[in-house]
Amino acid sequence: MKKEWPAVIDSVPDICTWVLAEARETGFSEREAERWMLAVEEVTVNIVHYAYRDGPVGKIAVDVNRSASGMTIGISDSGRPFNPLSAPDPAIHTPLEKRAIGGLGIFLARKVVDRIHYERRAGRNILTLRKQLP
Amino acid sequence: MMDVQGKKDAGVLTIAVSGKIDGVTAPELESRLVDWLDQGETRVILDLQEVYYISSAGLRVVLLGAKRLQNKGRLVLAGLKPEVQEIFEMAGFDTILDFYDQPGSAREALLPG
Repeated sequence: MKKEWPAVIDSVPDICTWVLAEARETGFSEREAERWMLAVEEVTVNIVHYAYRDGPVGKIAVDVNRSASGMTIGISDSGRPFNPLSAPDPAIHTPLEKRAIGGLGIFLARKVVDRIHYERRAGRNILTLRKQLP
Repeated sequence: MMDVQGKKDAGVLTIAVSGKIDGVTAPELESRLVDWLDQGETRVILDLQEVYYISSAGLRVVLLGAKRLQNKGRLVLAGLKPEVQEIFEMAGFDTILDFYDQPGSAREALLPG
């Protein structure tokens, strides 16, 4: 099922609540459903902050596909082309004084799902997240 | 969705947060924390016993506070639920910050002398 929201920060809790419910419905444990919520929050907050920075605020489309084996979520925007997966991982083993503030969002999203994939298609940035049921 | 309460006792500020620290609520936590640090607080406990969710937006605020106090004080964390602790560990924060099971033990570690 696909839904759309305006790309503003107030949309993020609604999107997360929906994803949490879908994850539970798919059969994920509470802990795994919360990990889904984390991944989707990180991706959507990124869209809110960056995708439409150079123009009018557009939309975030979230496409949830549940199956017997797991769940796949496509999250897309029509903002400027940007592949969040191209950023290098933050250096997480450096001491406090050298730690960069920020850059952790997509890193965490990657860690909590099984697969994450970016494509630019028909003027849209599409991130597809996949997680199998255990 | 998030509540923040500060309590100062014997030179130690305990900030009790409850609810979710996410992209929506983290800016409020950041501005409260920055206010306290601007007022000169140097020994700070973030009591996260009632926090059940944190995302990178929340981790960012914790890191910001810890970095600001690095050479003049300390910011420590207390009472994290396992699912919240796990996020800190994923981000590698377990090697750069100090965690305590209870705010009480964090207080003892921060008390002067």
